[in-house]
Amino acid sequence: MPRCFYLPAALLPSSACADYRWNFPEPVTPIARDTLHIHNEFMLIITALFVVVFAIMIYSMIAHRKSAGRPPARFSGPAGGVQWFWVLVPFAILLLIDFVLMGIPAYRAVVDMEDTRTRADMVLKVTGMQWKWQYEYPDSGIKYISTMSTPREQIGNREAKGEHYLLEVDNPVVLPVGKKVRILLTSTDVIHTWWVPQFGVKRDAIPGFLRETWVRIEEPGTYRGQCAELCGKDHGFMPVVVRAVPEAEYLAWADLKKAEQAAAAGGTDRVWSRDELLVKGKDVYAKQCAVCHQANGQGLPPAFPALSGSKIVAGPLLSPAGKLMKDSHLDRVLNGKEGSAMQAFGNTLSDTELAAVVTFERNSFGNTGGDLIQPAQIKSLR
Amino acid sequence: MSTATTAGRDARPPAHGGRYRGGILRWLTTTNHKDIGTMYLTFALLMFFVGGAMILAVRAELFQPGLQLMKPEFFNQLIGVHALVMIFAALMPAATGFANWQLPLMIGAPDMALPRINNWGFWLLPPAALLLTLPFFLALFGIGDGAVATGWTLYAPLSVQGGIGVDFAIFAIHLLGVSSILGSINIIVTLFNLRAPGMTMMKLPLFAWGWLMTAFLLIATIPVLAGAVTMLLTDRHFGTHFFDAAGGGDPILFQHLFWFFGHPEVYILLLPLWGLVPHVVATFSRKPIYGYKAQVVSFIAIGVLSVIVWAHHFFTAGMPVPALLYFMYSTMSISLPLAVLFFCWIATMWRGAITFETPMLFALGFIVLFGVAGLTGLVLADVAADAQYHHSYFVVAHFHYALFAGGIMGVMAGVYYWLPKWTGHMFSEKLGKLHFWLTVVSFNLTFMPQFFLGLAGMPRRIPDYALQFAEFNAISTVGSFILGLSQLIFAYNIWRCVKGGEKAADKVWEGAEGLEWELSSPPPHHSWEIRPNFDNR
Amino acid sequence: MMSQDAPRDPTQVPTQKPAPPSPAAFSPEELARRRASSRRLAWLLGAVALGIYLVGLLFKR
Repeated sequence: MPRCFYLPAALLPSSACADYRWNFPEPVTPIARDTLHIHNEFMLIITALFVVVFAIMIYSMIAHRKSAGRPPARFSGPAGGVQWFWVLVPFAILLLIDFVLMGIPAYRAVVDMEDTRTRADMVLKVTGMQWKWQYEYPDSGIKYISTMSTPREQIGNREAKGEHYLLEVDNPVVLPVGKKVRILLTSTDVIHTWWVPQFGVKRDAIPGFLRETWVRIEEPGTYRGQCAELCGKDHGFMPVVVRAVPEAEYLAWADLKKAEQAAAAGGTDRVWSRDELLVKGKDVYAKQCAVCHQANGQGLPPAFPALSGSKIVAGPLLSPAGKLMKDSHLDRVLNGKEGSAMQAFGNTLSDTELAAVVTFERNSFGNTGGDLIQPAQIKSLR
Repeated sequence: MSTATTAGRDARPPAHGGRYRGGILRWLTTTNHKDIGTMYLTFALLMFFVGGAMILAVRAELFQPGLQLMKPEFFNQLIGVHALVMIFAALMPAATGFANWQLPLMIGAPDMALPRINNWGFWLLPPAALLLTLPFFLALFGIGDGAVATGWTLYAPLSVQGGIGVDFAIFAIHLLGVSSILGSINIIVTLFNLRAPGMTMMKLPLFAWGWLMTAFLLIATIPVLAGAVTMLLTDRHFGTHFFDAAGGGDPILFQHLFWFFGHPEVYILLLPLWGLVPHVVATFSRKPIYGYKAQVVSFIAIGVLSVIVWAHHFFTAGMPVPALLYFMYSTMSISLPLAVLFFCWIATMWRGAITFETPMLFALGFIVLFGVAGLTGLVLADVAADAQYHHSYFVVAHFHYALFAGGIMGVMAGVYYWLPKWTGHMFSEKLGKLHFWLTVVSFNLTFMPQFFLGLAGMPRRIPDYALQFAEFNAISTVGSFILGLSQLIFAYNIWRCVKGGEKAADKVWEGAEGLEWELSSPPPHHSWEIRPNFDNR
Repeated sequence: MMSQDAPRDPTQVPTQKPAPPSPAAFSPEELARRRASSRRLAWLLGAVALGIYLVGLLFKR
């Protein structure tokens, strides 16, 4: 079975490898097609090298075995012009392979891959964070977070696993087909890597720096990938899902998304009731916080402290003057904690979500703070 | 005469009759290169099983999709500590054990040049291994959150964020590094100063040449790793910002420093074995080593190239196009000196009279499977295709072909080759052959599917995976358990051979050449009390 | 066969019995000289390693 490795998919009728289990998944961008092409070519070359070299070795093992009865030769190096010629030929071939057969296509592909700016139609900003992706469309002001939607019950084997187990999210990225999308990547905490195999694109998201790459998706469809750089405990659970749609559909989606965001932001101005905040807070907590602090608020100490009975959560919400206090509960949620996995949620959540989740945490898991904070207050504290 | 030949300036009086005191004190205080070599090799074997047990737990978790046995946090600890243990506590000590046992025998020296430093070099290892694994046990008592969970690469800022396991690993790496540097210094000065009269550098056995390059690489690169982890330590605890963009640092600086060490490290592990394999191949082909000078030049070329190609380990981190191209082409050029080695290995066999004893089988397995590693390494050098391979199981398979087939199987060839010399007994050839065939089949069963997993898009270091990867993972796990269990045959065979068995001749193998075969099997406690003369060879 | 002018290497089979080993080990003076030279080289190599380590201090903190 594994020896199929030496017969790259390029050699087989495409039906035999229809699901590409032996090779890269079906490419849908120019880069991925290039990459697959190069990969197949290289696999052919190294397979040929492997076969030729070890055929010679195996021939020698059989023909020059002791039981064949010939006395061993005594030579220990090439002697004379003819032998030197035959010694040098393999290295000439290898030079040709390295720097011409492999080197030239590789050069072309690299230059193409790194050309992110020429005729880019739009920009997508991807921000990695433990353990989800934030997508931002600077042109249209859309910004949202995408987290894995596979239920924990499936991971814990308490439920049957779905078709897209571990490769499904609540909010996929939506991109128009046929447009060159320049992708900017960064991170808020540790290094993540954004990878969609069918795009042939894999690029690190590095905190404090911008990296870039590009895609031009040629076929509508849903494409799935994963974070590829070890980024902590839930590294295996931060998938990337991209939905590629025709441009008209993309524009309609963008309008809808903008309207949704406006509606969500709208809640900032009104006064929320305690129950409203608790309901919304519970939802936000499940999506954003429960990964580390656990659904029951017990955390996973010492890396992820418990919120239940926490001194910080039990502390005062604001200073008597109504200002944000250093190292208070609200400060932690808004600004994170340096040197830990606790990130600055002030950057990623809306005022309403922040108010709701803080209120929820202060009044759950046996915490009886009893107080609440309004979205408008958060807005004024920013 | 005996005072001049005993190890060290603290030469003991002849009254001890060539043996030190018995018991634990002998091993703690020994300065004899054979004792120290034995300790290195025993330690390496022990840690090989420790590291192996860790990865079998990982493979068991990966047998089926879903989380069955462990939490992701613990999974991350196992993979990182497995790598650190296998690299620093199994493979490197094994090679150093070979050097200690064999170099003085092979160059006609009475002992290593610096016997007490030699003792230190070894005794730093057990505490280092303890530091590496202690956090696992501390966590059981509620102290800390387990061992280092960042993978062996310790990339900042993940490692800045990590728990006490990272600090333990940093100190373990310091100890291991000091041990390696002490060992390297000792090997260099021994090879420079204690060769038998008439043994010029170009008559040095290839094994010694391989180790010489390794020693120089260690001295050049271990301090860089030590510097990088020290910077990590100060970032973690003393408010520096080497790797923190918010303070003007750069997380990628860590990757540059780490791989400036990390890439040569691959050759550090492999060069002694590239030096060893020609001896084994020549012995069982009953022919002189082919292209001795070419191989020496290749060792030097690989050593030099290894320190200028590091960034191919993080192409996806993004760098300017000229840098990408430079690192791609310089990496590809390593294939040339490597091809010289392959050519010489096969030419050594050519028109010989080949037999297939266990050491030869392992050497041949090494050559073929390391060939897979070399060839896949060539395609990994290509920046565009690397975007698909990188961080995926393709890379995992590639470096296990390099470090298990190229590293561990090379070590096994060496152990079987020299074990009769060390113990004075023959091992069981039948068990040796069984060990070889089980190893080579189960190794491929374990790692060949991982190439396909990588191509299909499975990232490395994930505790759970999508359903499309299930079949290959199941096969790989089955293979890994056979692979792990068949190593017990290896341990049993060694134990049997130490205990007794058929008496080994001084020249154990018919076709063997070299000074070590002129001594008795086992060699006397003090080698070369009578100086060998190399003038006429 | 070209063994006559092929480069000699240490693992090559000697064509005749090896010359009998000279009876004396390294003389005490010779051994002392070699050990002293080893120690000097060892200090040098150690200093080089330490030097490389300390280069890290030049990075911006």
